[in-house]
Amino acid sequence: MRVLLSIAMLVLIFSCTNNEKQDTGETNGKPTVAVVNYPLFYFTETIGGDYVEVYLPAIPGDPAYWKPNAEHINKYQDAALILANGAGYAKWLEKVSLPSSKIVVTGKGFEDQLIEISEGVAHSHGPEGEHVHTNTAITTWLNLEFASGQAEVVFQSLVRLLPDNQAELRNNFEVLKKELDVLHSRLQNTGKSLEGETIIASHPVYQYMAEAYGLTLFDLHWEPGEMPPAHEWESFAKTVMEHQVKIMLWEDEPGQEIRAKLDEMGVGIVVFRPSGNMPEQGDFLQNLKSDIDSLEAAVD
Amino acid sequence: MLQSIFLAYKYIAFHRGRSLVLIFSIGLIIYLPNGLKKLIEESEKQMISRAEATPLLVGAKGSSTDLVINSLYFQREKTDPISMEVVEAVNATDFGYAIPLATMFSARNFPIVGTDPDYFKFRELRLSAGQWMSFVGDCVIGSEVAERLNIGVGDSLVSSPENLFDLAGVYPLKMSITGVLEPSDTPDDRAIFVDVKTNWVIMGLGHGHQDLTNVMDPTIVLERDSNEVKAGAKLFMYNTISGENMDSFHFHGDMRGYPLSALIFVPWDHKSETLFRGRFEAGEFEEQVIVPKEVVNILLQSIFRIKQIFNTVFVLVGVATILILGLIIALSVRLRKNEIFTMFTIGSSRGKIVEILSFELLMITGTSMIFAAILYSLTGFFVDDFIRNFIL
Repeated sequence: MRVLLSIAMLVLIFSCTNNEKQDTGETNGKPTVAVVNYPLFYFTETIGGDYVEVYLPAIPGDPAYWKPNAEHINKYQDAALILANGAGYAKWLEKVSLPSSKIVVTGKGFEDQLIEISEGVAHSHGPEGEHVHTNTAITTWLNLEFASGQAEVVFQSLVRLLPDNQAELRNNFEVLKKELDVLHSRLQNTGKSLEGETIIASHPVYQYMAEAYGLTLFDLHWEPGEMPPAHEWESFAKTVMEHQVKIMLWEDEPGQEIRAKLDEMGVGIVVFRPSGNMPEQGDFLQNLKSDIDSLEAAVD
Repeated sequence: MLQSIFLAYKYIAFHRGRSLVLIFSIGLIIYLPNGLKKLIEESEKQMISRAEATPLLVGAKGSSTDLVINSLYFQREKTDPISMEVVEAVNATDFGYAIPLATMFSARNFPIVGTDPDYFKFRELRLSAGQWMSFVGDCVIGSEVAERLNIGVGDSLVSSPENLFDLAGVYPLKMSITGVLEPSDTPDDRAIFVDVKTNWVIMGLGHGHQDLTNVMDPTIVLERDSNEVKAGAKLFMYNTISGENMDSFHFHGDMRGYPLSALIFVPWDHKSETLFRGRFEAGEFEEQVIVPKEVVNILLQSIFRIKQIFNTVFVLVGVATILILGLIIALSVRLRKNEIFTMFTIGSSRGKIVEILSFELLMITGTSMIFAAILYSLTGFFVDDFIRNFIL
């Protein structure tokens, strides 16, 4: 009985020690790195390997428009490092209380190259005068050069956190960078092949990709699972005719009805997932490779 | 001897008015230098420990004393602001980490301190109830704020307007209390902590309002075309941030340019501290970096000078009191000449009479010392007020 009690006490002491470690940003003895989207989750996990615990809550829908609750915020507050995307991604960051010293904006290096998009009409109220709420395009990682830059910031931040493991972290980063560089070259070549051609995008999410690889995009606001109304198809047909459109980029597999209609119009479907959220299958690089394969196949 | 004590007690009890005056005056004379010494020593200890616990402060160039008073004791001295960009810049040096501080506003006479969650960990503050602030509009209050205002988790606090006559000024913000801190015997007990962004909402740099594109009321929307909507003062601005209107809250402009009062910089080690201060001396930053302990020491030196003056005064007053006491005893003996003669006549020895008078004196000085000790023990409760009213 006495032995059992001693074991119970030891377990209790051990569990208390673990709780304290969580307060210092550690989980299971590893520093917790909290991220705001899947690309950063993938970069951190690939570079950090077994040395870090990466935290990205299960988010339904796009993490960019997610609204965390107090429990999620506590997890972010307790993390040893918080990796933000930059470019105004995850507006919730502006409305929560997080330690500024732990936040690293991975997109800081290309802030001067962000693509501005205007949101709504100019309006004025109060003494500050007229203003427009401008935003920037958020899917920065679809320019793989930017993605590489973001991965480098992740690497540098992890080195600061785990200086003793610098060699291994560097090795992991270099492998990742090499793969991103290869995919970047492939997209550059595809971009050259698509010079002068207009591509229709189902959603305005490919701005950085378009700019980096010289694509001419025409953005729509179509959902893969929702059949657009007839008048939208009419204007779509006009655009297809006018610009001789052969490819349409989709964030996800469109429904059968849409697919049939596009086939009828001679517009090829290319699913190019922005991968902002955790994929159901594969990982960031695998999915990116397969999406680039599809795009290349459509070009051929 | 017991008879002498009994007679001395009876004499004091009979002349209670005169005895009480003597007890109070002797008690005060014993207490005053010791009480002041305790006040100053305790204040010094508290101020030094607060300053020592704050390695470095970065703020706009100007009075370093004001910067310390503002940042450590939240006394709202007028200092120029620095921008949030400085936090990023000093964090980028990788010599330590920065904790932002914005101490521009108050609510019901308690300072509102805009900061981030690092502050609580750095000061080792703990919650006695509730949870840490999570969202803009949340606040965590010090133990004294909770006690004096009789508020707690789930209640709310409204920020005080800066100027009653500034009709076009910022809207007061209703903040929800998410947590109450455990007492720490520091100025944190009497502060209301919010995130810096909440501070900026109070300043008017961030706000939430009705969606103008959906408002059709002509008394609100003054002008509208495809590119522009102009609203009047009737536009409803939210004065509280909740789950329902959180989405409508937004900040205008680049948040890196938003103001802070100062920042606490916590260097990794002594070497990092030296290198960090070197960057300021080399002119890499426009702001000033100060070691709070050095500033507080200078501040306390002037207090010590006052203490020395007081001590001299008290010594002189003490000597005067002893002389007066001697005079009182001499006069008392003269007044009691007949009484002493009677005691002598009924057989009391000269020694016995001296014994009775000595016990009277001993009882009066003893009671005075007890009175002084009570006052001395109460002094500890007034250290915070003393610091606020006489030192800062």
